[in-house]
Amino acid sequence: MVKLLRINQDADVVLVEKLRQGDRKAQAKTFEKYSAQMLGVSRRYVQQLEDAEEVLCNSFIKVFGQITQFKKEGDLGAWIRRIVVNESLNYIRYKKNLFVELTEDHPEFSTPNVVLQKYAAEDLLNMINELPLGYRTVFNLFAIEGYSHSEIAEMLSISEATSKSQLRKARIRLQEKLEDHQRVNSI
Amino acid sequence: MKTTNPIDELFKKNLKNFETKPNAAVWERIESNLMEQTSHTTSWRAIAAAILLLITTGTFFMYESNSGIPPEVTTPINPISIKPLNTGTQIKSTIKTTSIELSEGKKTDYTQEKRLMAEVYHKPIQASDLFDDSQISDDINNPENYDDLPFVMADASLLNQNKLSIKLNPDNYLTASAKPTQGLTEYSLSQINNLKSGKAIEAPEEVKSFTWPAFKEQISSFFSQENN
Repeated sequence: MVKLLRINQDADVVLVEKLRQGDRKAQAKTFEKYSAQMLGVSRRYVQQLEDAEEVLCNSFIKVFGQITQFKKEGDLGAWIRRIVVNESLNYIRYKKNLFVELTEDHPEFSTPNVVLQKYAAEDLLNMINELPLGYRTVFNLFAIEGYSHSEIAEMLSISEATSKSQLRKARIRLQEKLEDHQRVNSI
Repeated sequence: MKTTNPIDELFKKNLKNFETKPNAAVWERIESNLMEQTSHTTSWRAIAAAILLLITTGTFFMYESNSGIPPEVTTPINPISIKPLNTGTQIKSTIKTTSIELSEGKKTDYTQEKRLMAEVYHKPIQASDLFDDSQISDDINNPENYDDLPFVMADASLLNQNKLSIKLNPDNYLTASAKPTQGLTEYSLSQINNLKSGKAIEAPEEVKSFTWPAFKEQISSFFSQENN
């Protein structure tokens, strides 16, 4: 495992060197290698596939244009991923009412048995996509990307309290969706 | 501290490394964007190089016709220096017969624009005189490869429409742009004096713009003054 990772990084070192020279083949290879993974990222943030692809497109143009800012010893995949997350945020920032406080009554979430079920990634992606924009964005950044509330607050120019409340509401909403999904599939 | 939440875990486990292949059109869009950037850079630099060559070669041909001394090729490197000219009766007639000859270069369609030889000489010269294939690198996408090329590249339609403007920017580089400019700026007197005395052109405080015929006019009148 460690060895595999090492080889992968060595391959990227050569790739990065060529990217720095603006090598078109290296750019195509980078896209080939990372595009599916990165579309998986942008699709969690941006609802429509075409929009997510636009984010992907802009991200890779940025990657190739700013490759000199990438430290050679770094992890290329992680660097591209950060750019994709940023581009996704830039994209949704234009949307209005990012953090609407919905005044719905939600049951306190308590039953973790729904999470023991098996779910297809596509189904889970759809659930995230159905969340209101603010919930979705905070949930993606916190639960999946692993950013802290203070980092999220800074990235989105919101308070930490808002980040926390959006996360809590996202979880409740997702739990409901998981329960619905379970109910439908058990019939 | 972050505590693990079962919902978070479920989604993270399934989606952190979720992959989905993009439509083929995405790469095509990226590639066309990259091509656009490359051709912008190259054509801009090529035009700049062209103008520099026009000036330097034009100057040395005149110089040569008067003195018979072997010409010294001035390469387009900062700062621009132009050789002092000998005064002589021949100069005026030389200027009068100065013409722009446009002939198609051997290679075309490098950057989707027509590649043409533009010569500003008292007599047309062969394209092959300037155009040395052996010096052209295969990697035409690399703008650096244009720097040392002894050929002239310009878009003939721009020249014909008088839409090629020339600028002397504060870094002492002569550059050309394809945008039509409003109004003409003349060489300042001190610049002309510097040209006459063979000094490098001093960087002007503000960027000067010329359209192509105005630029030719400037050069011609400069040599005429020299003759009086």
